Amino acid sequence: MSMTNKSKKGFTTFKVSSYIFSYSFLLYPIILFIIFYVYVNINSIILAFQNITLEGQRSWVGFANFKMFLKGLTESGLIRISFFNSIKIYFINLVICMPLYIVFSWLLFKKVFGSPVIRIVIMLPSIISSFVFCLVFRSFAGAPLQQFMIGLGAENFPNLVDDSNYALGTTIFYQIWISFSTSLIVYPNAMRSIDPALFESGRIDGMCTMWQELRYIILPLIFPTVSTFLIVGFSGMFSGAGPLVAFYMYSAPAQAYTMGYYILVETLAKASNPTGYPQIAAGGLMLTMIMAPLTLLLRHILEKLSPVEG
Amino acid sequence: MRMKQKMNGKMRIDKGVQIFFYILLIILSLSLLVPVIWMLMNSFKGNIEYYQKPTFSLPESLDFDNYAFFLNNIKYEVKRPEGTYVYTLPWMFMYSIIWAVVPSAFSILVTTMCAYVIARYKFPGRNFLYSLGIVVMVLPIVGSSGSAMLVRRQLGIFDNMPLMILTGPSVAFSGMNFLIMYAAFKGVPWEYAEAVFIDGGGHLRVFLSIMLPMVLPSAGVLVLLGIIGGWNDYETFLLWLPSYANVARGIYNFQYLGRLDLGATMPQILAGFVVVSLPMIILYICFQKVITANFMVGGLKG
Repeated sequence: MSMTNKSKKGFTTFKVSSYIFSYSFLLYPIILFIIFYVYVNINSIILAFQNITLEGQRSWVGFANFKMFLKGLTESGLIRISFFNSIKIYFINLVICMPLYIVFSWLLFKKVFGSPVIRIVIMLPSIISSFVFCLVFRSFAGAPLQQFMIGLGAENFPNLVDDSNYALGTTIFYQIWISFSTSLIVYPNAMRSIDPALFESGRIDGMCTMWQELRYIILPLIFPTVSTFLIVGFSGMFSGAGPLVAFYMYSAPAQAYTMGYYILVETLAKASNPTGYPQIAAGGLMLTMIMAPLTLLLRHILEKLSPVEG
Repeated sequence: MRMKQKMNGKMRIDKGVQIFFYILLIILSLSLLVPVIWMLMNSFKGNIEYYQKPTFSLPESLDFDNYAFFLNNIKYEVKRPEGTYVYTLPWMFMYSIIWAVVPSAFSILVTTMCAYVIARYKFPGRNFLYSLGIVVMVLPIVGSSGSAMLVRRQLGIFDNMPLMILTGPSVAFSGMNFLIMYAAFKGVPWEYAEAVFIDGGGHLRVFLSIMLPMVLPSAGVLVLLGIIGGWNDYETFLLWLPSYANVARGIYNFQYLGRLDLGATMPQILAGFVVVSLPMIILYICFQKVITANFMVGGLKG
């Protein structure tokens, strides 16, 4: 009886010590989370209903910031351009890139001729520093490429970086082009984790084409990877500034603005001038209220569609 | 017979499609090589040669003057209340190394500690924290950067590198790194820990001497990827640490203002790009297999 009590006491002591240990490991990150995530976001919500002076004094303005942002969204201007460009970029990425990622990855997974060299070349943007690659692209795609193309006979070839009509196209092209660097490492790695016996049994069952292999074996098994990319991409639709800062610093042509870049220019780039923060906070709150349920819905749908346990 | 013919036809079409995509893949690879070759070739050219000769022509000689100019002249001036600071290349390299190594190592350490207790201990709030981490990861919060700026300014974190590093891991129980470390700890058998507990060892000893060494390869890869990200990071310096300059910030500035301030030519700027890329090329060559083999993304479950 006394032994049972002793072991019970020992178990309780162990339990208490494990609680103390767990909470001591979590204390610091939780404090940081409360200040820099919870408080920052609550403060942002409050800011959406306020006005702020250059000196930092705040006053309540009700829904005025929301009205201003909505006005910007419905009338022509930077907010409207940024909003639609962000959506455009996500869907172009989704429609054009996703199928190419999968097919190219399949080719690399199947070790087509020259695949080791292709893998290294695809990694180049990461190898020579992504930001340097971005700056090199910016330097190259401007005047040098224009001169080169004129030399080849394309007399009216534009400056793809500095001509505002082509700025968005160049930005989208760069984002797609560079995204292969990560995707063509991640997807082939995911494909390599599939049991080779599945491909063998597929062949016995008569699966002889690339499409059949992709549709019936690979896609179902790498679905968690695909859906993670889709969800993270969707949730970040209005957050990322893309390569615009590297290309243009804070003076990108209006036609190339994205929501992430607009927010960055209006808030962080004007660090000493907080007067624009409330409108951004209001706009951000509205976009969050649209995007948060949509992202959770997308996640739910993808989980339902998933043929494997994620 | 007809079935066989149909099958052969299908396979021929499939082969054709494969060849089409293979050609596209080759074009993509070649297109990625073009700017790099252009950068290398033109970094050796003189200014007149750069403008007068075709852009893809080989340089007349392997002249390292552009590299010397970059190494001797790159600088970044910042104004602080106490005076003007001039960052030269060695200082920028030092800040690059600090910013590449310290935040990623510290952040992965905090993430690892979170992942360990959430993966291996049962305590009130554990499931809530895990789910919260997943929600935070997926939930898009837009437009809070203004508020973040105000809070960081109020707390004196804005433009303060040590505090930026210390407050970096604000969502340590969320994100891909957390999920990777969580999965790594889940994969370690708990029997090792039980053996230490029976021998009288405590929780910290189990973590430091048993569990941490077991997940060190995963943590090491994350630190490595963090180092690469930190080395490339110019935006944090541009926006949050304007009084500091790492190499990325320096070359970014050199590219925009070098021509005006220093009279730098395009080939000299390109030589700068080559110099700045070298450390990452060396790092990649050393850890190529580790980096590429461990680059995997799983599902989001929670």
